[in-house]
Parts: sequence; C-alpha cells; structure tokens
Amino acid sequence: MHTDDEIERIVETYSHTLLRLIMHHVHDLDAAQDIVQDVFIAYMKQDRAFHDREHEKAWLLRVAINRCKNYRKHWWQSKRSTWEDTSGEERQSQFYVLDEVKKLSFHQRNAIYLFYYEGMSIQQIAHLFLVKEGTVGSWLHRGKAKLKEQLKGVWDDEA
Amino acid sequence: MKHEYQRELDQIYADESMKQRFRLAMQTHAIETEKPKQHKPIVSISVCALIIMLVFGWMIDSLVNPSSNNAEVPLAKLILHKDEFQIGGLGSVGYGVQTSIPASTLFSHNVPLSLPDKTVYLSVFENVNRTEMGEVRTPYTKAKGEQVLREYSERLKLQDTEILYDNDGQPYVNSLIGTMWLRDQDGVMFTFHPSYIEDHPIALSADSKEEVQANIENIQKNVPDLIPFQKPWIDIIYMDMTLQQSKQWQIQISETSEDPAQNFINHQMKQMMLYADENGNLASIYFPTYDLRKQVGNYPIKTYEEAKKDLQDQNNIFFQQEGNLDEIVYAEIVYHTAYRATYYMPYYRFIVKAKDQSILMNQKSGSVYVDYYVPAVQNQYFQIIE
Repeated sequence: MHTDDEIERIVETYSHTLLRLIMHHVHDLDAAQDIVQDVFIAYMKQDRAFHDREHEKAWLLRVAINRCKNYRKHWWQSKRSTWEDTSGEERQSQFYVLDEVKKLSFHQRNAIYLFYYEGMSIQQIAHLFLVKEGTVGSWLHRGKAKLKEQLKGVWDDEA
Repeated sequence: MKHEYQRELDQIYADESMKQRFRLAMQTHAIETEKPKQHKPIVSISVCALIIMLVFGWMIDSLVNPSSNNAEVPLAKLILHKDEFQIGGLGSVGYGVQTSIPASTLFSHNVPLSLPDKTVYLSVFENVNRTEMGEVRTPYTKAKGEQVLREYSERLKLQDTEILYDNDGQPYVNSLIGTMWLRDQDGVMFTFHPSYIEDHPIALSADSKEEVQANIENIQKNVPDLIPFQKPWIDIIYMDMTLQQSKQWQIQISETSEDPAQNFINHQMKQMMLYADENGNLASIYFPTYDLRKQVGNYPIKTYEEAKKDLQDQNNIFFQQEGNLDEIVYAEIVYHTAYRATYYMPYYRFIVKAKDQSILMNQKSGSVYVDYYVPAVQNQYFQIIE
C-alpha cells in the first residue's frame, strides 16, 4: 500500500526527469504527461522492494522507455500524418538542439539524455537497458557523431 | 551546444497543475485497489483456453514429432517469453554504416563454431540469476564475493591487495595498481590506476585488426600473467561500424578447447575482455561470469539452411528494426546471455541490409545493417509465449 507521503515523494522526485525523457520520443507535452501518469500508475501497481533510490529510478526510467516504445508503435499506426503535417516550426524554434537529438535513433536519444543531462554513467545506462557497456558507448559515440553532423560540428563535450 | 541542450531541457518541467494531476491519478488508483476485486470471467476463460491450447499443441507436436519424446535423453521443451528477448545481450554487432570494407569482412570475426550443415548439439543452461526487469540480483554473497575477488586477484597476480567495502557493504579489492570490483550481475572488473598506465603503458588498441592482434601477442610475450589461459583463443570484433569515426574494438580472449562445443561455450561465456583507454592503452579487464551449473540439456541445433528458412519465412524471429531478409551479409551462432533470458541458449544471428537507409543522411555511399535472431535449437524443442 502506497501512502500519500510516498506518492508525494515520487511525484516531486521524478516528474521532471520522466517528462524530459519522454519528450525525446513524443511530439507534444500532453502526450508526455499521459505517459508520465501511466508510469506512475505502473509504479502504484507494482509491489517490489527496491534496493535503493537508484534502483527505483532505474525501474521508473525503464518503464517510461517501454511506454514510449509502445506509444511510438501506436502513434505511427494511427497518427503518423498528423505529426508530419503539423510538426513544427514553433517547436523547432523553441528547442533547436532537442529537435536535432530527436532525429537520432531510439537508443541514441535515450543514451544522450541520460548521459548528458541526467549525468548517468555508461555502466548505469548499460544496466538500465540490459546491454553491455560497449553497446552504450557505441550509442553515445554514434549519437554524438550524428549530432555533430546535424549541428555542423558544434556539439562538444567540453563546450 | 551541450549546454544549450541542457538549457532547453531545463525549460521542460512539470508545473504544479501537472504534478497535481499525477498525484490525483495515483491516489485514485490507491483507493480503487483497496476495493475487493471481482474475478473477471473473461480472464478465467482465457486462462482455460490457453491451458487447453498448450496441452493440445503438445499432444499434436508429440504425434507429428515423435522423436522429441523418444530421444535417448528426454529433452524438456524450452519455454521462451516473447518479451525476455533483449538483443543487447547477444553481442555488440548491431547496425552500422560501412563505406569501403565489404560487409562480410566488416562483420566477420574469429568465431570458433562454423555454421553447421548437419545437426550438431549445443548445451542450453538455465539462467539461474534471471531477473524480469534487469534488476541487480548478484549471485555473490559477501563471503562468496570476497572469495571470487581473491581468486581473480591471484589470477592477475596482484600485489599488496586489500579487501575493502563500499557503502552498500559490497567487497572490492584495492591494490597499488588499481581496483577490482564485482560487477553487479555477471562478473569482475579490474581497472588500472591512470597513474600506473602512464608509467607502464601497455599498447592495446590500434587502427587495424592486425595491429590489435600484434599488440595482444606482445602482451602475451611481455606480460604473460595477464592472460590466464594456456592456449588463448583471441577474437577481435570491430565495434564501430562508422568508418569515419575512431575505431573501437571488442577484444575477448578465452581458453581453446579441443572439443568444438566447449570451445564455443568458452568463447561465448568464459572469456576475458580487454578495454583500452582513449590513448589506446590497456585500461581495464573484465571477466564476465555466467552461472552454468544448471544445464537443461544438449539440444539439436538447426543447420544454417534451416535457420535461414525460418528467417525468411519469419518463423520465430526476433528483431528490432526491419531489414531485407533476402540480403544476408553475415551469419553466426551466439549465446543469448541477457539478464532477462530464461536460458543461456544459442541463436543464429543474421545481419541483413536495413530497409530504412535514411540514417546514411548525406553520405555518398554505404549501407545500414540490422540484426535478426532465430533460435538455433530445433523448433520442436521450444515454444515462444507472449
């Protein structure tokens, strides 16, 4: 049974993180909100004991990523034309770099966000996706290379 | 630009009304789950139907394939879950772009098992440390962990070692030249201290596979204790398929066995892996450790042609991105070792040309490849359920 205090903690701790992650995969804030809510409901339904906060966070991120996958499947089937027609100049002007990150592959996007924004290590990301560290390194490497190309060489780790 | 990205993301946040919506949804769910549950008849009917289908399917299968019951050693039917499959657990060759090297050369590496043209047998093991979601479930207790670390310290002939404990009480070995720790699920990693590497650089990475091979041979000659195998089987896998970028290698070494099946298991699940730092010097050593004590059985393996037919008929295949199944550029057998896998069992990996070549963007030439997986165990010995 989850208490109000726990609900408060989960919402306060993870709302921003999940929203930002999900915005790498969906095209409007409403859809992202729906998915965050869905992830939180999934949290309510589970009754596992997490080892620590890191474990809890990894679980929530993984559920969010899976929900994004499902959303993409559903979305492509039903609303593909909607986005293509209305995708946006408005959004592009607001999120210039994010729009370029969104052009990367599914895994590259996640890796770039988790590494560069969330500050997760390659090992942590590898655990999250159940892949070897070299695979994550490869996602980051290729993702950065593509971003450099898209952003005309201005993506820089040190910049 | 990284900062610009971070600044843009800072602008995306859950405001108070959004958070309130989340709280309400969660509280509503909590209240609803307190109410007594009523059985939904449709669920019971579905479960009954599933059981009948499974039993009936097994009976039909027994009739059609009597050999599955009459094999000398009865083999259990392997039950695979559709969602347990994580392609990341099957190695590192994913999709990539190549501009000049022929695909067959690009993907090929030193695999100790050729693609069979007649039935061969390979072991299937139960993954006793399987986790549903990839959570940490270490096979090492504290005492066992210390023992494993000591064993590896001796294997690497480390001097002046000390067992220490991290904040979670997990043991690690500290020595003058680096630190060895238990990887959460599957092994032990030793990382050299940067100052040690500076003073004692051991060249590892290079631009070509031949140069990497030569570097490893130098290590064998000059630092023989580092590689704890009598007859090392060396496999160098090209990781970064985008040839314009710096080259990355997966370097794994295992014990060569006279028995081809054992040689393959050593290569897949009893290897050591070497990693280089950004200067190409040996920086860390990883010993993956898979618990292979629970062998389910020795299963007959499809021939390459049988597996290829399954691929092209799209029969029991796993993939993430669609490819052209008529354009197979490379194939090999690999063990599935993801944390979520029910079994460590062999799969055929087919690398084919991707349908979506758009990742190439402005490149004038090249191809994008994707990988498909087909269970290598003959079809009558496994079943995939949702």
